[in-house]
Amino acid sequence: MRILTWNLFHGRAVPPAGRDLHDRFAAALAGWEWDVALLQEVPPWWAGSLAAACDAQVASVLTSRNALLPLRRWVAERRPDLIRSNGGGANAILVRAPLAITEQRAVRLRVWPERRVAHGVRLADGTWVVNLHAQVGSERRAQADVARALAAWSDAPSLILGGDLNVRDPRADLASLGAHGVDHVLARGWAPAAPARVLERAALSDHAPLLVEGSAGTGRPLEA
Amino acid sequence: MKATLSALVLSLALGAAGCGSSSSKSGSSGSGGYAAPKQQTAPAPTASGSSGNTVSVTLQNIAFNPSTTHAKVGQTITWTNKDAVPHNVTAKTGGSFKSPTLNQGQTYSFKPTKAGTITYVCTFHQGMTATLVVTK
Repeated sequence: MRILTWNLFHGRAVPPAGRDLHDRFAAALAGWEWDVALLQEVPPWWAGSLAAACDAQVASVLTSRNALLPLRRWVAERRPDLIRSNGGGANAILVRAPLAITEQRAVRLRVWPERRVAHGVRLADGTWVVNLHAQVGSERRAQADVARALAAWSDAPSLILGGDLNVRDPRADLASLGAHGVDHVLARGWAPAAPARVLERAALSDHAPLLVEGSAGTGRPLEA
Repeated sequence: MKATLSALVLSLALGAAGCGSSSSKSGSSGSGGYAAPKQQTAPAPTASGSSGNTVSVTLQNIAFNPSTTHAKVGQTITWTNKDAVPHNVTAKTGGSFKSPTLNQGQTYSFKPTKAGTITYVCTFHQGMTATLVVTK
């Protein structure tokens, strides 16, 4: 299974592009080969259209700064670099066929300083794939978010947990399928099948997309 | 123009309503006249703090560390980006420096010539703010 994790930086670029970049993000995502994409800092109104562009199923959760969302969207679509992260936020999981989402679960990890949610989807083979954007600016809080997410899926024999964990060395009793900076893909019951790759994304986002490949190792995924 | 003004007003309002971690710090201004900043490519210092005539600040975990830096006039302050994500160092009040985009491992230096308090930010990351206190 090929897993992509990418923090979309609320649909912005570095340096700032000064315009809506939905189509560029959609084209980039559609052009890469992955089976599951874990996206963080997604403009909430993008999740469905990104999935459509990628011919994928989607499951998403709202994270922080989403009060008065229509107003935030109105500004963000016109001045994304003005409103920045105040444009609202979501995490989204995209899944391409032949894989399929059979169930999803969201666990709220904290509301302060920012609302954080661990969001997972269960695939047809029983594997849970969890998307996490941990609290930024505090290693202690980020590690706590990782620990809470793992606790919520402690009963999953086949687990992939990835995202922007906001720590370089997450304290987790899981195998690493790959990492770049604070972006990680960790797994239980899966082993790395190929070296992790950082994909070229031009100036899109402040994070680079990370693509890893895992194969069912010890503790094979459950059969559907 | 009208749309721009509307967007600005709404953005400010929504920013205030956000529940994020941003916290602007205000510093006393009126201490202009700083020397031109200089970007450096020398190897990065390994730790934050003061060493001789250089004061080091790291950019890590989407934060400046330390968040308040004390330096003397004539000392060089060097910022090092240790994050995998790009940052910049931009004065908001009390000064007028602005670094180029700093990728991982890149540094930026600035040597103040007057005492005062400068608040600075990374313009890419909301809430990434810090203060530089310069004394004689």
